[in-house]
Amino acid sequence: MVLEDYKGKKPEFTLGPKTPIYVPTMQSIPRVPVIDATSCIHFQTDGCETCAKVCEPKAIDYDMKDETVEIDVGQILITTGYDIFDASQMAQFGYGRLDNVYSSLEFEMMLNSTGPTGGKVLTKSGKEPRSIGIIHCIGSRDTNHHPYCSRVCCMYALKFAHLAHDRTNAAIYQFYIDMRAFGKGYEEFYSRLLNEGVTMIRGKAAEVVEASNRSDGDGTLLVRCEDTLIGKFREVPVDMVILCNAIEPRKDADVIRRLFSISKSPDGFFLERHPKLDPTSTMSDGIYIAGCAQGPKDIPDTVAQASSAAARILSYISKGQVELDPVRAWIDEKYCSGCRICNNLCPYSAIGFIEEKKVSKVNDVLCKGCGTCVAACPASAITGKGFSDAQILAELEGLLEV
Amino acid sequence: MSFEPKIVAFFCNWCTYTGADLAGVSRLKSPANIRVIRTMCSGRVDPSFVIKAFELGADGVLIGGCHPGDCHYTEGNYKALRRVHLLKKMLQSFGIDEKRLRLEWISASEGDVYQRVAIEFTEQIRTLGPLNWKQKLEQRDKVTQEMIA
Amino acid sequence: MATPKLALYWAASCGGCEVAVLDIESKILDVAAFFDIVFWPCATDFKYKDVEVMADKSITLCLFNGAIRNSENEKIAKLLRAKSVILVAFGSCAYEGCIPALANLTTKEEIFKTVYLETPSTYNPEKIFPQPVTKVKEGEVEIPVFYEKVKSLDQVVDVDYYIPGCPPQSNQVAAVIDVVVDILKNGKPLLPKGTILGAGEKTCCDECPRIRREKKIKQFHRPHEIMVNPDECLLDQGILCMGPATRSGCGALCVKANVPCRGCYGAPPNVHDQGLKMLSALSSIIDAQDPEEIDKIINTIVDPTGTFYRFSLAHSTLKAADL
Repeated sequence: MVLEDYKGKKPEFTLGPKTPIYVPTMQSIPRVPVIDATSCIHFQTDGCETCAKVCEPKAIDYDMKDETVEIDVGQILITTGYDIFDASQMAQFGYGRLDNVYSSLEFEMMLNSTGPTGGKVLTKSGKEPRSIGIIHCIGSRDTNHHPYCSRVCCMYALKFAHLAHDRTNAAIYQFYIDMRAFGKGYEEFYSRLLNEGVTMIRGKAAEVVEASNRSDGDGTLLVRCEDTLIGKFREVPVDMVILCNAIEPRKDADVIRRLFSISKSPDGFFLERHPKLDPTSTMSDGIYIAGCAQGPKDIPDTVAQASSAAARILSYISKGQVELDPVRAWIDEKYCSGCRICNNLCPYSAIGFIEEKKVSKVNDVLCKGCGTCVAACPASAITGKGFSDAQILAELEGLLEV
Repeated sequence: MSFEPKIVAFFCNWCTYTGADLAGVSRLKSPANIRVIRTMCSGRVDPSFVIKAFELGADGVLIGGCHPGDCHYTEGNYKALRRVHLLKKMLQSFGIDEKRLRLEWISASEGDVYQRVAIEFTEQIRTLGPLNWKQKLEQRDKVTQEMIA
Repeated sequence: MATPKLALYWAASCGGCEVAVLDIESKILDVAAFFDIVFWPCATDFKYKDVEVMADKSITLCLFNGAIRNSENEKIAKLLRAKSVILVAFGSCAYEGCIPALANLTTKEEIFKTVYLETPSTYNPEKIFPQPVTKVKEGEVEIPVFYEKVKSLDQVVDVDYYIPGCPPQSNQVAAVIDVVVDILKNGKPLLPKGTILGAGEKTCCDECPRIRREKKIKQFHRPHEIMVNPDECLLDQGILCMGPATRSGCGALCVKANVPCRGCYGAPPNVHDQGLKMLSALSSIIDAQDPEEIDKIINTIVDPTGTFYRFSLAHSTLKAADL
């Protein structure tokens, strides 16, 4: 099977030709097929129905419709994941333009035994590459794109090298800036790779160009880079280039953010309550984040973070109640005219606006009692319980009596 | 007999109040002129409190909050900052020296900073002299009444 | 029941409140029919001495508009207080000082200097200022004493009720008259002393039809500086509208005409100091964290003190500047 029509399309559509009824990937959960109504003959002509005929448990129902279900929940865990950087923004690497330049996810798919090549490492023309170049930091550690490090790429680049070495006789080159092998067993794996004969070139690749075509139809690619360890510019001929695309926040991360009133850090990922002491909560009580939605991370870290968030959530659920601090704000509807000046002031998004009544209302559970809204309300409609205006004025009068 | 300034201080619970407490516990001598009202956050401090303090006889008002970026409630201190800036402008319109209102960022571990600020501010107000707002208003009334008589 | 007596008086005022009363249109005939108007300098020829000979508490209802700027204003206020059963502070001047009270941000000396020396058309080389008492060959001539500061009516006499507004909206005046007539005619109990009549219990925002969103101000604009969107909240657009800190009751007329509320109905029910509450609200929504940026945005507010206290300075905490 040959990789066809995959360039620029999303990974789930690069499995080659697809039938209208298909399983998204072999690792989908749940692993059930879906029908693409736009290409299914039954939905166009009311005919066919072959799949229903062959399905023994009679599990196919063409009348199923999309449903929107509303569920009341007390806590939400946001694990919306990441997008990978679109490397066609860096034209110098030829992604989307040159044959045989693959993104990390595309190569991952190629390596997968359920992928388009059945797990074999093949160039576009179906041949085994004689040499492979793996370029690190595409879009990461780059002032023009993302200044941060995507954390996982060095290790998967080493993994790619290891698997490619296993399945082919290709010479493998890694073009890297630093080798970040920070985890358990990671450094040992790196050493093992060095012994497998992978060539490490320390120097970010500058560009990938096409060399003149070789006689057997394969265009060799040239990776131009500076090898800083020997202090020379190099042109390395490879048959395949694999890019380590940056991990970036999802395109609709801002939509999600606004929906849940959570913040983002400067890099665009969702903001945790505390970078060291509380990486799974957000400033809003009851909303948690885990995984790459919070920042690039690999599987062990994601599992740890997700488990931690789940444990926090379960502890609340098992308590069955939420304990509220009595010090908090309360809006008197009698005086509130819905000017909404307070709405934006709450760092915990505890103040909502009730459209029908045109008043604002404080969510008791989220309010932490800081009193900022109390001071700001131009109608004095908000009482700060425990630190009310009357109480503070009484203190003032007492203090200044003598 | 030099005048003893009456200074009302609004300190946020998490940083400045704790910092001032630390100063006390560390036996750092600081003037008793500072009369403290604790609020949970410097963002709770309503400009009305400041003005009321002046009206009731305070000669100076000190507001203490967490350092920018460190507010226990994320950004309450920024609201305090904005309010103080606009309030100082209003104080000038009323003829109250804006130096009588001071906003300081003092963290929970900065007992020494509290001491320094307390001493500095007390001396500054001592130099500026008593405000005596109510008495001044009553005096103007008296002048008017005498003119009518 | 004897015909109830009605008095109206203007102290330091612009006359707008008198117009507001007349603006109840044909209802004025009902008023004239129900009440015996015994004193109304604007519309009738009764003199002070006519009031002085009246029995105490013989005037059923007195609508007093205008602030207390000089000794005459205070003298008549005290006189009418003695002669009236119900004394109403009618309009913003009497209620809270209104525009005359803005003079409290300067001094009597400055005012006199400007008026009697510095205005372009004034020719006063001998620097003659008005004196309360002047000796002439016939004796002494007196004029009222110009006070050091302007006061609201309740700062010189006991006030029973207040009707806010600059001026009070005529439909509200009509409504109040109905209430009063109802009480007098049908012997209903009087409202609690100090009640604010002819106004609502919320703020102007309650009557404003504009769509309000979350507020973050990067710059304040004067209404002529931008194209005002007629459907959106003015404050959202950076125009300083006093609506959020102003009592409701006027029907948000100004805002509906694309002009920001100026605060003439006074402080909302739960607020003591209108200007300071507006200061707190407005500064809280300034969208900046850096002190310099904050100052830059604040500097786009033209005359904050005058704007926030335009109508309510006499009722403010500090009352007057000490200059």
